[in-house]
Amino acid sequence: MTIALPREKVRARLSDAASGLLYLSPSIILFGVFLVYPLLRTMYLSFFRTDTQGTPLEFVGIGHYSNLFTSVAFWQSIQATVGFVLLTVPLTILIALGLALLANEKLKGIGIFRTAFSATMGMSVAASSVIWMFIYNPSIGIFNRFLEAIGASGVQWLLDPQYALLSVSLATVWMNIGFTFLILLGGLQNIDRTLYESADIAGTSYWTQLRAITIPMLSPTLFFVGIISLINAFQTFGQIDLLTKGGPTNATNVIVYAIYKDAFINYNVGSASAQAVLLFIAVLLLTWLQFKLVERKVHYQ
Amino acid sequence: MKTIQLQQLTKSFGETEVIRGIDVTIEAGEFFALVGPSGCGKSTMLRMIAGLESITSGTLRIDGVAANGMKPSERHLSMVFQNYALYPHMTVEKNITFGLHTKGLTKLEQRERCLMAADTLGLTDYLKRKPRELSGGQRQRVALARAIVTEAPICLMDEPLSNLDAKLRAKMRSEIRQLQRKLGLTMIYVTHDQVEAMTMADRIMLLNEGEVQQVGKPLDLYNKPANTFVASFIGSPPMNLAEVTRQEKGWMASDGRMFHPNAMTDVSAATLGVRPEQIKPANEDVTFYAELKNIEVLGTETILAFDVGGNEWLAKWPGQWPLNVGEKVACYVEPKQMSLFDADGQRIEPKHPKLFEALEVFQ
Repeated sequence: MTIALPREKVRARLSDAASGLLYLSPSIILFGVFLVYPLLRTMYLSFFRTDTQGTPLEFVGIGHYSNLFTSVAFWQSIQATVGFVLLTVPLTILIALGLALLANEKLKGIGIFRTAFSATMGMSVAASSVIWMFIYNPSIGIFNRFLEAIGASGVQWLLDPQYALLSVSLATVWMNIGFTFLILLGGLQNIDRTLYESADIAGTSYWTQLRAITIPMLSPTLFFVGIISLINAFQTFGQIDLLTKGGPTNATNVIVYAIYKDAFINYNVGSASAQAVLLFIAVLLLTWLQFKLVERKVHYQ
Repeated sequence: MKTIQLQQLTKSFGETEVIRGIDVTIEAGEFFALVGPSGCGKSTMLRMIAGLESITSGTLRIDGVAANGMKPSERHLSMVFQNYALYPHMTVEKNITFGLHTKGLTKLEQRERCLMAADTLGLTDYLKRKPRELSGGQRQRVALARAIVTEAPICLMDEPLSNLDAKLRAKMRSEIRQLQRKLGLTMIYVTHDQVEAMTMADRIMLLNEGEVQQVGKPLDLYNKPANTFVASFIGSPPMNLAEVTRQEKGWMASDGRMFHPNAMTDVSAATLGVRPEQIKPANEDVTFYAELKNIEVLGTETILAFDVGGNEWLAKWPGQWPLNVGEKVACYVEPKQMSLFDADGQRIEPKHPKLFEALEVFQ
């Protein structure tokens, strides 16, 4: 048996829901137009053969997916992506953490260093890529000049398949340090000073304090930075396009760049969509795994 | 047990001097309270003793040895912070034993000491818990356990009770005091609460704006405040004060009331001070009549409010008095219980207290 609500109550609830939706409408519209619709459209397109404009022509089921799993190029781009993630994420976090620990000391003029260490955050990917293009330049770049000065032979940083991924990763680490540094410094500054003072009175060493206080207290921030960096690394595009265009011999053809090439150069929208969906699932799974595995070791206050 | 000696200790942050030349010796085994309003420099002074804040000038001696440059850990002291500074990610046991390895104790010895401290403070059942699973009072106990587990002879406490509710505070007050006596600790205890200082301390130092106002036993500060600041800070309600001018036969407040304190001085204007409980209902001699502005009957005592020379005065009469607002009551204050302060607010001592007592008898 259901008890009928009085009419006024129903009306009040409806008007509550309406005003709630009205408040939410800006983000619902934005997310809907720029996130939800493209996502669903991509999933839809991944099951179709399309013309060069991306108009679906013929339903092919999981044809694109099965093609991908047997394609050498796809596995190459997976390999490049995983290599890129493994090279950039740990290194970025480690260097940024080291810099943040240094910049968290109370010293005269520390503001200068804090600004310098976070400066790359204010630089566009394009501008930084140009800088690194000069640094890696085989004839005038500083790396090869240095190698020549100590008598070694120069390296084709961006053209040698052996070095290209490493070079792009290094540039990416440099670009990402600013943001990661700033977040980690913020996390460090949020740790209660008295915890260290109490440890000072107890007589523990700097390294004990780092291991027993700083790292556990910083773990939520490290966790956050880890997830953001991982997702960012999977989605890298700009510096690849500017530095190597996915080459040489697909050595730096990371997945997002492969998607771009398939969709907008080869006009193979269906296959590109399938790759995009696979990337989405992979990032989703990894983030979920990170939450499951790491969160237990994170100490929220 | 160790003594702590401060010689002309100062502290400046840039141009501002927050501690101005403090001289004091804290005896071994003494409970020494540092009291003052917020921003008076009491916490800074404690942190200088702990070694968490550098000393601008002057000498700090611990057991006779100059300690200015010593690291906090070399000073053999423990400290309880206002927010307890517990490590949120460690269990109570880990919190208590953290840092003990630096003293060369084995795991077994650490555990023994931890159990002993936990037993003393009634924490045995909570050793496996995290701080966030404890109540405020239990966290406070963990902080205390951490201080006593090191067996350091000196213990510094920075407003340790200010985060507790009133009931628990009263309980912890006596617990800390008993602990200090039992372990023979030299205790320096910072508080802004004069009640804590009065009830716990062997001696009190009252600070204001980085300057020592008075050092002494709680009752000395209460009975013979060195200046008007001490008079109005110590005691609840504080000492009643009024501006008075010298007349031929005593001192006159701006409303014409006359007072005859024992203290003698050549100055013509001064401040008169009387403790609320020293204003008594008059039997024969009447010092002044008070027109009541407010009455609070508290059961054991009655608080009367009235104006003297433009200031609100309070009187505390024992018992329950059925009085009404607007009523005029006769009050009596013994001359020797009136304090007199000069124009700078400094206490004027009676020059010949014996003579005055004799005169009173004669009158």
